[in-house]
Amino acid sequence: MTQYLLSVHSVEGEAEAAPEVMERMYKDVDMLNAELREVGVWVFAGGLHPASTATVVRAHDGEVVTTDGPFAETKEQLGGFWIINVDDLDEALGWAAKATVACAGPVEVRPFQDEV
Amino acid sequence: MRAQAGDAATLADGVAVAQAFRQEYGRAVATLIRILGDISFAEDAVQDAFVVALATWPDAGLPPNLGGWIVTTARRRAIDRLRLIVTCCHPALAPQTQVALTLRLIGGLDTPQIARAFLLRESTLAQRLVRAKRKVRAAAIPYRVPGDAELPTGCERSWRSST
Repeated sequence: MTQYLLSVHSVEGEAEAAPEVMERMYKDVDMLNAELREVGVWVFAGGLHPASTATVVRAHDGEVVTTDGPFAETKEQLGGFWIINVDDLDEALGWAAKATVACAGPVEVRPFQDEV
Repeated sequence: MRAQAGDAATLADGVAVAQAFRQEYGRAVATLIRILGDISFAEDAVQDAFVVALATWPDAGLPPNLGGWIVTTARRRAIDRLRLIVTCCHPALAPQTQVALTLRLIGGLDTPQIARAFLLRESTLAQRLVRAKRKVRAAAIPYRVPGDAELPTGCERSWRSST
């Protein structure tokens, strides 16, 4: 079994979808989450607040500095993700196909390193 | 004097394999065509099986059923090769990487040959192959023959019934 991160990126500054579209999206994602749990591949999933709410903490010359804002100043920011535990990439891509439809955005699939 | 199949001397110099080839080749290819649905692929598979025979019979001795051994070995080799092709051509790999990996692993070309074909520096292509193999392992790109449902319509093959 391999764990995969299925991440969804939102583009900051892009117009928000209409409320009814958002509502359908939430419902679809809920249904997908239910299916992931039912099949037993669900590890974790969550949506994130906008990147403007992020704080970065870094150690520099023995001093810890805290700064407001996301780590990378890009327009594309992590918006939410799933972690699933499946046999192989094909299975992960199958779930990613459902995920991209449910959340109406591209989904990046990335394997986790094996647990040591 | 005609060599007796199975004695140590004829096994060692491949005479036994040559005899088996003459006796069993046609029938084995026919069986494999039925399984695989493709003549060239069937021939390749049976020839692969005889290469294995040349390598293993001298030590292991003749199998009791030569024809059966050849067909079974050929079928396994063919399925192994199909799995490998499927892995090499996985859509999670970039198209050019798929081709390079296939030429390397299925076609048996070496890195300089493939680099020349792509007009790439050898180091660039070598790096790309290393990355591709790492991704196959890390992302667990499967090594298996896909199910009918995963194939475009018209690609379902009769060999599946026997895999």
